[in-house]
Amino acid sequence: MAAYWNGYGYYEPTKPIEVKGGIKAQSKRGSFVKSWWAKRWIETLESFNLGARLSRGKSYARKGQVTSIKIETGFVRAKVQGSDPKPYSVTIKVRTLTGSEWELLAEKLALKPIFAAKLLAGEMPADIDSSFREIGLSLFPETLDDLETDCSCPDWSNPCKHIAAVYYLLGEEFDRDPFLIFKLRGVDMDDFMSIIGKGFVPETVDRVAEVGVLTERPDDKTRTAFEAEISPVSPELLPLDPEVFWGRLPEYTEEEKICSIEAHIPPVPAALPKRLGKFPFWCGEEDLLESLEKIYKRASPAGVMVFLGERK
Amino acid sequence: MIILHAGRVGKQFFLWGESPSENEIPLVRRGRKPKNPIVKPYPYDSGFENLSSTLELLGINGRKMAEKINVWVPTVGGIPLPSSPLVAEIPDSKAEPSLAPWTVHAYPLETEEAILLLCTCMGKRVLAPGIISGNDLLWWADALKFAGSLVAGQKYLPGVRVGEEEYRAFWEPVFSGEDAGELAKLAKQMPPAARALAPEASSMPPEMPAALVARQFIEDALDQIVRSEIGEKKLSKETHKRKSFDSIHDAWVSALKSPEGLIYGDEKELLQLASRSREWQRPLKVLTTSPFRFCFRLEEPAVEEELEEPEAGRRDTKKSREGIADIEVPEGLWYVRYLLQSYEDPSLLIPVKEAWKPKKGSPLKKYDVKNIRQFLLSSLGQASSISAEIAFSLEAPNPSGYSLDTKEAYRFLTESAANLSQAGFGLLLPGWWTRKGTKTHLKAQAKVKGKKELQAGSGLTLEKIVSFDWEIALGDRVLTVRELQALAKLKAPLVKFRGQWVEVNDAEIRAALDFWKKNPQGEASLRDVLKMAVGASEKANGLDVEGLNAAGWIGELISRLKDKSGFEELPAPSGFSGTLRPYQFRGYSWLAFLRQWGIGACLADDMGLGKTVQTLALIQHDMEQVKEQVEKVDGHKNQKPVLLVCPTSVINNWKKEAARFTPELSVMVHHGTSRKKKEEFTTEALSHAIVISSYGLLQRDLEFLKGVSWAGVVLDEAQNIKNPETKQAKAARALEADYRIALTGTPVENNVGDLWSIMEFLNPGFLGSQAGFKRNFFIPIQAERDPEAARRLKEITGPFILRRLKTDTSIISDLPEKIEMKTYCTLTKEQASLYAAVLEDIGDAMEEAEEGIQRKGIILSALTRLKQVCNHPAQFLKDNSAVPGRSGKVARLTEILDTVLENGEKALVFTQFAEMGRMLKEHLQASFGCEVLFLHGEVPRKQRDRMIERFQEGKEYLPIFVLSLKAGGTGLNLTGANHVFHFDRWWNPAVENQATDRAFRIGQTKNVGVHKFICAGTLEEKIDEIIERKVEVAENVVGTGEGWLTELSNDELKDIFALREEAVGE
Repeated sequence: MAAYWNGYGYYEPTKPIEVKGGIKAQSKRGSFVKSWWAKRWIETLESFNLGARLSRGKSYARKGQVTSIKIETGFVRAKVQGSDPKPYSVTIKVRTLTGSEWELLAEKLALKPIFAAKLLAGEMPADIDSSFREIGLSLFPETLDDLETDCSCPDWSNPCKHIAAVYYLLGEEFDRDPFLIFKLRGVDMDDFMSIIGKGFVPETVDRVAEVGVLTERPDDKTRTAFEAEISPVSPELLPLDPEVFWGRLPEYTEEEKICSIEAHIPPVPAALPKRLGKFPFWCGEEDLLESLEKIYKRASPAGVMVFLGERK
Repeated sequence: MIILHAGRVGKQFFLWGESPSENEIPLVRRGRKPKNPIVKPYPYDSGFENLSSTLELLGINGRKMAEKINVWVPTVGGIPLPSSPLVAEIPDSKAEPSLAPWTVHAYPLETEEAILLLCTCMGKRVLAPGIISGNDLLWWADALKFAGSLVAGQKYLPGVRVGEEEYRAFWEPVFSGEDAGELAKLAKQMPPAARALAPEASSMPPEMPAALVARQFIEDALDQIVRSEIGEKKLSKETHKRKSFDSIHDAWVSALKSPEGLIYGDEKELLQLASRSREWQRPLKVLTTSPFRFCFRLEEPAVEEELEEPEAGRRDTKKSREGIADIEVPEGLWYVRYLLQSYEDPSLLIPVKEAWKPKKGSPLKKYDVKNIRQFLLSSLGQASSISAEIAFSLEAPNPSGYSLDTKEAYRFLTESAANLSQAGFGLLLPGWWTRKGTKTHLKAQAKVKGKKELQAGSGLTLEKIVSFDWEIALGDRVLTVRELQALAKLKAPLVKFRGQWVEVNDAEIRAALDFWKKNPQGEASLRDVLKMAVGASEKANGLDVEGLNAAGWIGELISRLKDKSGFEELPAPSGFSGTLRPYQFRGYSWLAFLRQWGIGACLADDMGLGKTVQTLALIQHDMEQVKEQVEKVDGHKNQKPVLLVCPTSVINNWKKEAARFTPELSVMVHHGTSRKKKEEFTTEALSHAIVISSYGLLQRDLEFLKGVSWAGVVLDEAQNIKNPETKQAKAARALEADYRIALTGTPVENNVGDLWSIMEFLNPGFLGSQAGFKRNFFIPIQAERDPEAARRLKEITGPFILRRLKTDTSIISDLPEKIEMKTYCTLTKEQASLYAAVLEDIGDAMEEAEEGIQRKGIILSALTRLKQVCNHPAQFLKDNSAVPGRSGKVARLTEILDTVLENGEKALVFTQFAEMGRMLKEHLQASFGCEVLFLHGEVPRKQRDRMIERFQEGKEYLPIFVLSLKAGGTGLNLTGANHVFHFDRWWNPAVENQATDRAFRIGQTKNVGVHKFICAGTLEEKIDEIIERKVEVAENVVGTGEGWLTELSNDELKDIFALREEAVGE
């Protein structure tokens, strides 16, 4: 690999400073991502003709040179360890869609619940892009107009290998969370639900008008679904009646007693983490799901023993 | 005596205890608050030593240091109100209590120690005599049980806990729908005492809400259970340090496995890890925090309109269409409906169709529409990747379900349903599909033909080999090969069989045809055939082999076994003296029927129904049978003896009963230090009909006990071998015998854990190996609450257990309303030597005494002293010494009451000595962990009435009422009890009957058992005999008290007072 002369007058060495514990791409070789939507994302990068920078970026991503990634609505900030002791700062900005563009989209999406359902379940609906195209939009950034990238490295090329590395890792994150693209396009989960939700009333004729108000951010309190997070606990005073205090006169009936609890070892282990899928930007040596599965399998019988009061 | 309590201060689990106070509790004058609010020690604090010895006893290493902490307790007039009357009298004050702190010694337990302790407490009120679980401790054990179930069900995730100074990796429970409900329920049930501990410095009572206390404990316990299982102990603390990890994620995984869970790393990275782990878990939150469960319901095609055609004609067309009678393949579409099921009220099912836009008045109106939609969409999104049909249904707005044909319905049942359910969805499937064992399905069954009629005494045993034909059946409908082939051609996995849907899948049909070709016939021992008949099923070539189609004598045998009827009702054996009640005839005949086939029997009749009598009748009957046969063969030969094993306390009882009912049978008691051993024992045993011994000796003398070939082995109180690992259980199984009988008065069939050992003794191999039993029955029934496993176990064990309840009047219509039993007890060595000493003492005094008042006085005092010794050494010595293990009577009383309580009944215990009553109250309280009422002469009237009210009402757990004969013998109405114990005797039947009548009177709805305690081989037995002899002729003479005794001569008295050898039980 050649070294480049840059405007500031020094050479960039071929080897970046080694990083321990950086974000390592979970794919070790070959194609970086699995899902078609993440592939679409990568294709955009690869269409920019970066040549060798592309493969350097890929190996940066795999080696863990990217030390942090922060995703916000509309843009991404990242730190990449290059040859300079101080990591380079990378930003990737994606053009956000306008309110009226979202309005049009909402109409399309509402008619097919499968879109929202798949997205909420962590999958990108296969033909969602066609819904975008029908109204002359594209979900994924396709041209440099849609994408604005910047890196603090001395390389004159944009995107540089650092940007490419971040871009690849983002691709992996897309695999896990297709919603990311919406976030980069300017709409987070709650906004999206508002859009979809309102669309779900086919009887309403003036649907479009209703969807119109997207620029207003939803009230923060309505954030999570039914979440009854144990909110600031209100104190519960001890009773004065000794019968109640010592539990001598139980206030619950026999049926309410704790007899409905069962201890069942599920046939398929680790269902919960499996449902959650990959951990965001996993840098661990071991595969998380694999090691969790082993642990769940081993712990289950111990749980049964405790349940039966037979722990030795 | 100690009542154990537990609570948490911060994350620390503490154990503390209450014991009766030895000092008077200083009264604080009311209305005057102490100026100096120094927290005083809790007057009932068990203290450090008591706690640590208790912990040692429970197998937990009592550590060195206890801490002093405060417990905030309702307090009246400066006196804290204890948890139970076992600790101290609870003042009956009208004054409003206030909360006050009291210091107690409390033991800090590590989470693991707390788990071990709570495991031993689960559901156990009494942990050991005198060690009692408080309600709060029992609650903690329930909470632990819940944590165990969460671990078993894998309902937890790895997480990061952000502390003030550190980050910890921990395993975090996920309380989804149902479990959230359980958690709320658990919190509601918490006795507030469980959250009443506070640090000594705190001046405010603790007020942490129950829900949070419960949750935090479960979190910690769950984390510990998981961690201890995966813990990599070999890793030292050093290796957990940051340097050895390339990334924060590796550090996290390692910390999840480490004992203390600390994650070492850069602060920023740790923060990010915490937030990423939250982000990772977020999708689950939407589903788990919903008040609904998303459900799929498979609905059958609508039944075609009944045609106005004659029934027969209809059948015919069906048959011609499908080719097999009884079986049809209806057309029409099935439907999978999407529903929301409320966790709070599972019967509330809301079609998803209505949920997209809830109407007015819908229960969904309570929730935010956006949230509901998000929930619906995420659920359907998840489901859509499991089933393509569901995905397809989402192509149109507001999906509410989809239609499917029979094959698709079958695929839904066999594939999608399991996957959906595993993913956390609710499935409402038709009953004919979900019923496991009773489901109609294709199976192979053996068809046995016994040619002859079943005849008693035909010499057949279970080892006889019988041959049979295999046949294939759908439910109880036997199919021909041709029908089976026709069924295969239908290629319909679900068909309607006699109007009900059943599964007949291709693989099964093929397996059936295959099985048939390979195994047209078979052979097995009668024992194995019997196993098949009672439902111990197996699989062969993927086909269930179960059930039996038996005709002839084998069929008859099986139906007799299963129904416990149809067997020969025997007359009383000729050598049996005494009368049997009709139900006892049936019981004894049943024993004889099983014995005839060499099948072990468990007679589990309710206490008082006469298990002893029925057993003795069986033994006598068997002896006569065998004798007849033996005489036929070679004229004369020694008969094999029967070994009867029982608790020490009932040895005398058995001896007496045998002497009374089977006087021809010679009885040898193998007990005590002077017992015969080895060859001497064998010779002696062979010359007797019955050998009585104890469980203790069964194991100690097994070596030569098993050298004898026994006619039968009878285990009385067979729950003594419930733990198969114990030496006595192993010893019992090692004995060789022609028949085996287990007797027990406890509901043995309900104690799944105990069943294997008893069954293995009775009929080895019937329940499979111990490990197999645990896997197939114990865990499914106890942990998974699988009703099918419970049903199967009942079916397999049913034929061998006969349990009749006194309350079941349909079976026992001939039971007298009052059953009087003499309970013969033994003396302990200590009692015997005290008895001998008293005898020596009075022997001299009587010799020297002059006639008249002085002699009378000496005799009456001797009488009292001897009775005291028979009751308890401590009563005689008046030294307030320990109660347990020193009196045969107390031991026996405790044993019988144990059964009484196990059966949920109540008892009165009469004694003529107030001090004995007090001792019994204390002892029984410590033994059973419940308050025992005690009425004696000094109880004021008002209090007495309150006691009676409480006992009769049944609101509280007050199963035992001790009364002094004088104070409680007359006038009271205590029909709540149906057992009456006369712990010592007044020698006046009229007085005793009057006392008995407290329970046995108008208002009594149950049969009353009257237990009269008599120490065999002592004056008690002698006097009882005299009274029995005289009671009919001269009730007046002896009926007036004990005075008549003083009229007897010295020699007569010496004979009455004498201590005979059989008295001693050790």
